[in-house]
Amino acid sequence: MNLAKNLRKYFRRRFRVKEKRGKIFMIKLESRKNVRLLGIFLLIVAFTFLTGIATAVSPAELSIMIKGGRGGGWIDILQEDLNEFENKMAEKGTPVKIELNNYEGKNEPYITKLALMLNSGTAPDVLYVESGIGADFMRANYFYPLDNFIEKWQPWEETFDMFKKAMSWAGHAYMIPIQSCSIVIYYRKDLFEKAGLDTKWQPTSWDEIISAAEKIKAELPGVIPLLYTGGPEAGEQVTFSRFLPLLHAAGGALYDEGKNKWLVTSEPLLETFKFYEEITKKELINPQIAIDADADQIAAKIFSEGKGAINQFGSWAYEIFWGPGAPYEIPNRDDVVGYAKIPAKSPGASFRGQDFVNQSGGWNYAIAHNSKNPELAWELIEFLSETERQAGYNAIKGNVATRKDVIMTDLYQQGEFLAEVSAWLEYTYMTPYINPGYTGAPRDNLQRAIGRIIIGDWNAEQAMESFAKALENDLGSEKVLYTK
Amino acid sequence: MKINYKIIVYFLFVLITIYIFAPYIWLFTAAFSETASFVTEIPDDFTLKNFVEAFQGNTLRWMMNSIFIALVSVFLGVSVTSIGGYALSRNSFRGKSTILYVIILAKVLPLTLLAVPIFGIILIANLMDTYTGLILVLVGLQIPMSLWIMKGAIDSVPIEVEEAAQIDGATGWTILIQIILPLIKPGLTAVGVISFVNAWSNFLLPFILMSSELKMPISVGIYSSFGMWGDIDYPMLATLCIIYMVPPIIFYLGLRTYFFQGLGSISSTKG
Amino acid sequence: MKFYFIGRLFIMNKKTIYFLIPSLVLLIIFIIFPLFWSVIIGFTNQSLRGETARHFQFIGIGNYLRMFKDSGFINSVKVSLLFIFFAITGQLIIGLLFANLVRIKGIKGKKFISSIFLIPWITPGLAAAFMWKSVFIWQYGWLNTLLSIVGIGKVNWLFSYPLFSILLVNWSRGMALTFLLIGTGLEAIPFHIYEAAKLDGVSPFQMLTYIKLPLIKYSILVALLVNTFGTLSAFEMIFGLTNGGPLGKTEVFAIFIYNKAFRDLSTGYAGALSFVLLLISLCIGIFYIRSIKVEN
Repeated sequence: MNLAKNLRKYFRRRFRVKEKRGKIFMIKLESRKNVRLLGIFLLIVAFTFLTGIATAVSPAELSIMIKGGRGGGWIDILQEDLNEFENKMAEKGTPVKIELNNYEGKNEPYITKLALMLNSGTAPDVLYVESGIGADFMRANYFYPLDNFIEKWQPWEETFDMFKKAMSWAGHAYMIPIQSCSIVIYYRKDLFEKAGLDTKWQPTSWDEIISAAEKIKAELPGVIPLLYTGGPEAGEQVTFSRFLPLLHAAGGALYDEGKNKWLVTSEPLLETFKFYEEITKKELINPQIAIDADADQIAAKIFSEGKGAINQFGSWAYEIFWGPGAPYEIPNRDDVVGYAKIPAKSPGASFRGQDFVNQSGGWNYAIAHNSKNPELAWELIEFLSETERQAGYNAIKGNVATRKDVIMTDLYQQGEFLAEVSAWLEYTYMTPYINPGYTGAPRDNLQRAIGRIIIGDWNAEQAMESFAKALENDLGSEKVLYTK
Repeated sequence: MKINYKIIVYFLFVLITIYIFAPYIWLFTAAFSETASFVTEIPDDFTLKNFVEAFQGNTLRWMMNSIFIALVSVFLGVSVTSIGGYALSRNSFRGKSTILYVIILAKVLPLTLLAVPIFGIILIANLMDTYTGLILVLVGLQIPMSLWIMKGAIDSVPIEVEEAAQIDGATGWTILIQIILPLIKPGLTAVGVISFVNAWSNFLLPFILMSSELKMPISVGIYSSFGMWGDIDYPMLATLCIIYMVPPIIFYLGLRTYFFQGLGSISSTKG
Repeated sequence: MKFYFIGRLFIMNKKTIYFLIPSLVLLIIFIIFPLFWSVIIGFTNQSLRGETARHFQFIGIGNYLRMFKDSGFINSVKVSLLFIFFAITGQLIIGLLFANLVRIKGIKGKKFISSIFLIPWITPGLAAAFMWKSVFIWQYGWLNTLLSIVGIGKVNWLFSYPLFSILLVNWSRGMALTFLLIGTGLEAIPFHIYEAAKLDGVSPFQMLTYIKLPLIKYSILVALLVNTFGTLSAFEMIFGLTNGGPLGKTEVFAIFIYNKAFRDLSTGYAGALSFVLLLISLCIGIFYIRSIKVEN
């Protein structure tokens, strides 16, 4: 029995009963001190065994890992669904026990944890993976290929093409999308009204954003007009929801898929850096908040308190930050929070000639390569992806759906905000977010450059030059392209 | 004149006390309230709810994990290094000064240096996500410091004592356990406390070596209890910190006197 | 209670060398070997994600070339050196000061001070980071509240003076060891030296500089050694407090390596960085050993 074996092992360690070159050593436990120590030690060991910790956790048949945060609607629903699944499987005669791991920390440690687990082959069967890092994980062969499963699977057919592309690599599909998002320019209608701006605001160029911000600054002194962020510590949203959409809005891209290189200097890139330079010079942002490690939280809080006017951020924030029961709940949210699309730098300047841009990341299911029950894991994914169920997840968490059938459900259409921002998916440009290796050196260097602009150290030219040099140094000159 | 000096000295004492206790104030004001944030203020609602809530979650489990891991690694470490220190102290052999040199150098190595390779080693040894792996690593990393302290402590035991015991017919093991060990209790305690504190507060190693939530020690547990989207539950954080701090402080307070003596034996004997 | 396991007896001083084996084995496995491993990994482009996760290649000194032009690396070396220098100086001064103060005749409170001195050290790094955050945090921390009462006005410590902030925390944690080590060194000074000095009419200040300091030089060096070791490893505290500080201003080398290895998941590059850190540590270590040897 495990208990005895472990007990003996530790007993031997403590009292050096080892066989060394055939000698067996003599031990005397005469003094009371030794006996007392031994007693205490045995007591502790016994106690921990009794509480079931020291024994290996009995392997669940299926384990699923999500990143859920504390409580909140979604976890409970998921738990219910998992129970339902277990019941269903039990009825079928193939009982399953599901172990739910809920990671409650921030994004970055979650990614590290996933990478470590996948690399060491100790990952749970079903994983909840973000699209961006998923791209890298796919290339690392961390996931189980899903081609056989999705053949003729309805939900996959209903998935939008751009997501299908992001979930696949080298001809195989590896992830099933659960949700996505849109990037929105939130603005406080009440502050706009006070400053004499139109409360139905849809900027059509960057200049309009800046002039609105300047008006706010002039009319409402205590309010921070813009809530852009920068620097590596502030997290991935610096680029994902702020810088990159703007870059695309200027008609540029960070990665050339055809040539497989990073475009480290380009006119649009310079324009985007200039945008940040301008808002810094005109003091439309607060640098100390912008580079804080908790910048997003602080920005959301300030926005919710009406001390920040314009926040370009993800669609998830509507529910998760400011919705009912959320940490920074805004009581009359639907009245005071306006949302607008991100405009191209000037109409038509964006890629594909669009007037507006969007960015859509998202979270997906994947099966770990070390899973012992891939078919069973697939059944679970299949179960969780049923249309109504999926619509529930999306609607409750306030996330954009990735499938036509889900978007069409009543539940989903009920949310006015969701329905609206889902329509913006047509403006989305997904890469380089999902390009391999983005989350390493490119993002780090880009965020550093942005940060330096925000605290006033560099201007746009210097930032771009330093970004280019740093990336070239990190990746080698074959991976970068200077186009300016 | 003398009175002046005393006042200055006592004033400095007060300063240092404030300096030391400064950060703890918040802990105790926030943990007992439900609504506190980072502001340090007397809470208007005094409640023990946080503690109850903390123990309903995984915290108790994490705590037990930490205790288990720390205690086992302390026992293991003390055992291994006490006999190792004995060997170093009482023998002279060809590689001795090299080994001593290596030990002192190994003492200054920071952990992040070794984190990545250790991850690889544990991975290959198939000890990933096991208590054994983590404990072995913790013990291994403590060896240089502990060996050095032990050696110093045993050095200070005059060899005549052993000779006398030998005349009485005692054998190697007996000498070690019954005679030397009691004499170096301070050294043992020093090693024990330092090892315990290091094992307890170590965050990086369990973070990279353990994956199951159920096996996590509390150092990692606290870190991952932080809300993902900003709902940093400050009172809960304070509560968890208090819980996190209690065992080492108890451990330390209990062994204080021995510990001080133990450190004394390092600095007054020559290496 | 007597348990006896029959075995061959061995006489003291003969063959007790074998006792060293378990320690050596652990030492080799977990310290020596990883060092070599990190050297080797440093020559590859291994990573925890992307194509190189499964199949890495040897890239020779590519990582090292990258390192020397990496502004983040250069910055972290600079920050580390600054941090270590001021950290151990501060810890030394505070520890030395209080070790002496506490032993002045007629001053009460030695036991109290000695006990509380170690409390910050016992506190785990991560917990300490959060607690000190509450002290420093702009707008809310009580340090700023205090300062605004006194009239100095609020300062965003973590933003404007990040190095100072982490130094402040580090001092509180490291001064304990200096205090204790120097304290015991002081106690080892035979009493008659004090008497002789007093007879010669030596002032307290002269006593300190010319008499005590030379006698406790060994303790000071040991304290410095232990403190340097502690400071090089001060990972958790800085990680929790500033996570590398605003734009890398407190990104000590340990945090830089952590970011490269576990945030950017480039373990190969981190291996090369680790090797460099190792060389630096060895240099510091050798320097100390020489000094200690000289003392003896």
